[in-house]
Amino acid sequence: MARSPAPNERRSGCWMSGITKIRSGNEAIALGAIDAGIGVAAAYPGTPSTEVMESLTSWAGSEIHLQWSANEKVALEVALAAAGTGVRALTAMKQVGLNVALDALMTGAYLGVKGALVLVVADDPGPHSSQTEQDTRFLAKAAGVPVLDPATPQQAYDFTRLAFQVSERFGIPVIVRPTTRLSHGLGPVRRGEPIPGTTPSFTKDGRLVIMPAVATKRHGWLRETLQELSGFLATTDLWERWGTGNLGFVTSGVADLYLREALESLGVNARVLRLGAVHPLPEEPVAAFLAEGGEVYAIEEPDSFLEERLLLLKGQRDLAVKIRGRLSGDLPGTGELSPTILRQVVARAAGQTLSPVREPDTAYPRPPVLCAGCPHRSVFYAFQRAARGKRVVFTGDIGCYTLGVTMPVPAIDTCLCMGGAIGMANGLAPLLTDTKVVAFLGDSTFFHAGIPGLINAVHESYNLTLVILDNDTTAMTGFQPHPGMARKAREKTARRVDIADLCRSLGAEVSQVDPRDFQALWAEARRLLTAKPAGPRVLVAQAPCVQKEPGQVRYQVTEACDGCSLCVREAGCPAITWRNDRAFIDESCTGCHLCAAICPTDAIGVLSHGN
Amino acid sequence: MGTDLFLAGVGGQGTILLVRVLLAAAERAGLPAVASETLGMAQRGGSVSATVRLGEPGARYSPLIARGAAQLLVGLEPGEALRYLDFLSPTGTLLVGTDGVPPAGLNGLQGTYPVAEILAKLREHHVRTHLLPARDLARQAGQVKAQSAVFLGALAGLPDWPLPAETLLGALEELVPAKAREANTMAFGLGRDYRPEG
Repeated sequence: MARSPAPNERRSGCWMSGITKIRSGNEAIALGAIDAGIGVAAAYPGTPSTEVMESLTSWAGSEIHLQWSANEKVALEVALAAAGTGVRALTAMKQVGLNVALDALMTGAYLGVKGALVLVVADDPGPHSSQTEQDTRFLAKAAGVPVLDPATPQQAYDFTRLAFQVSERFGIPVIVRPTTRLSHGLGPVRRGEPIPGTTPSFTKDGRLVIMPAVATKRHGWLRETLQELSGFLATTDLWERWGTGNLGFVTSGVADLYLREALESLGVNARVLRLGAVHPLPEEPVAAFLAEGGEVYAIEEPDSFLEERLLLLKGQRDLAVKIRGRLSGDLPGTGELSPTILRQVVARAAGQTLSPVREPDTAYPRPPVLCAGCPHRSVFYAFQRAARGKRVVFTGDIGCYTLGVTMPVPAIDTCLCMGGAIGMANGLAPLLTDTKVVAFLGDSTFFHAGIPGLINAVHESYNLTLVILDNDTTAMTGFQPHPGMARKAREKTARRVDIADLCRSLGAEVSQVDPRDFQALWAEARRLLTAKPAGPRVLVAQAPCVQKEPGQVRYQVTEACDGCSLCVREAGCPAITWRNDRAFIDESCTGCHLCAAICPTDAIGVLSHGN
Repeated sequence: MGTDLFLAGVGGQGTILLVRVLLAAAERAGLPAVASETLGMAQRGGSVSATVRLGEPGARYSPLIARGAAQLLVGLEPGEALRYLDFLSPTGTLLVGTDGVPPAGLNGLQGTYPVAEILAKLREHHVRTHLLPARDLARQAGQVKAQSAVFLGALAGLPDWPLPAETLLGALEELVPAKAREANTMAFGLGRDYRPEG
């Protein structure tokens, strides 16, 4: 049986070449963009896409304007405008970030681009670290935007360069869609010859003004362009057909690699069509593949996008072929694919029985928790304790502080989406009039999506409390800057937008506290939960993230400990454990002082050098 | 026949450094290699897992490894080794550190973390198991953080290991900060020369 030309070796595997280096998928995308001559890149952090922009900040020349934007919508608007001046622009986000930017994308696709625009949108099958495992390809189709679906870091590099070429040639934005396993996967990448960037210029020809009559025309243009593009894609090597057999597989993304390995290790004969462009489909080669009949499996993730396109094509052309995938129940409906799952799928398709493999051991779960000394822990604890015996609902949001839910008493009762904490608080406050409503938002989240919700609450005079957890960074994704900070992507100085001032100017009653001063924090929590309702109140809790600025002292448990175990039971700090009927604080303590503050017998004190 | 490794540890133990050193060493030796990193919420005390596939056929495919297919499982933490034991081939080798890191919740009051039991379970379930007191050896070398260097040394000491020890050491020295080089080099040596008592 002929071995498939595995994507990793298509570049005639010169492993000894100095020009081939091992890169991650995200790094490869960044390099592809640099070599494609971009002039602008704007992004908002989001796992698994974050390293695209981070790599650009490390490697892009100073002539390229880079920006961590306030949110993905702004980032896309920045990139669309740049592309409107004839420049090549990139924006990067995770899949739920596209939800935020979608308004700009839907119109942007109609208006088209003069230069080039590539959106890197990273899906997260599973999900590993996202609110959904939605499939970007469906949104791209709704917007009329082409999608390239790379499987290896080399393809991530090549497809990014190709995406800029396609965008420039056809005048439309193009999406490059890595998934987590590609973004954080590492493999060989050989770069091509770089091309220079272009000079921006703005022509006052009205081509960037959308109006209803214009929309009808542009919609027509978009439909025609996608048809033309489908024909063009069929002439490229973005699709590849190999093998023979009644059993067929149509693949895209990293799942193609799982399939290849399964076919070879099981010795199964099949015909395979790998698609690097999944929207629009290169229709003729796909139809020809289906027309060969038999059983064709759609191997893709996270959802049944290709499977549906194949079923549509089958119906339109009345083809005698059986299509299988998630819809038919031949692939799992949820969760990510893997080499293990593809072995099972291929074995079943080929009528083979697999020998059983050992089941995973799930005995000792290791849930992520807030770091030792995290200021969010003190804030959550203070509010939880102040809420005892009272009716209080805590709305939560996206960030490290979502981990408030893994504290001994879960600190948040809701978590929906970026800005959802204040948005949902607006919904709960007027209905639950006998309940205090407290929303928690991080600083980066506040700038991203929290401001309209606060404005709404002020205008409606809702009785709610907004606690902004300001640790002066975007922590969960790796400490990227945001507008509240005095730094930017590549500059150590920047103009700060002050959170407390902003909230005051919006008309909220604002107070500020340092969570490391537990007495002050406790006083604020009690005050806010007992104050007479009088519209929205904001508490800005400011203390730096301990990963960026660890505390200067360590605490220790002294002889005075009487074994009441309150610190262990209630704080949930990973630095505190129980040994020999006493609490014990280990060297991961970063000195936030919370345990010392809540100890009923004052048995916790600073560890001095002599000890 | 290539060498497919599955690595598992807790955030902060150096699992990712291990992956990067293996890849750098493979590049130097001209050996095809691919890898994956599951970062998860590693800094927040969560699991870290990774795969490295050295040589063909592994390096031709995705970095992920099918269950029961890895030749090597490197467990920097015993509970994590147990969590991913299903990825190790029944004829493969398990290299596991003996120092447990209790998960949040098993803080001694609401439950204990039975490291000895976990290690016993690992040995019971798997024939070729090497226990490595990596933390002690790293401490001997002068830096507790040099645990991943101990594991690298231990890998270099395994039969059928595809990369020369000098190449591994060279890659390690290049990737650690200058002031940590000496301790890491020593930790590498201790890992390589370690033989359990008896």
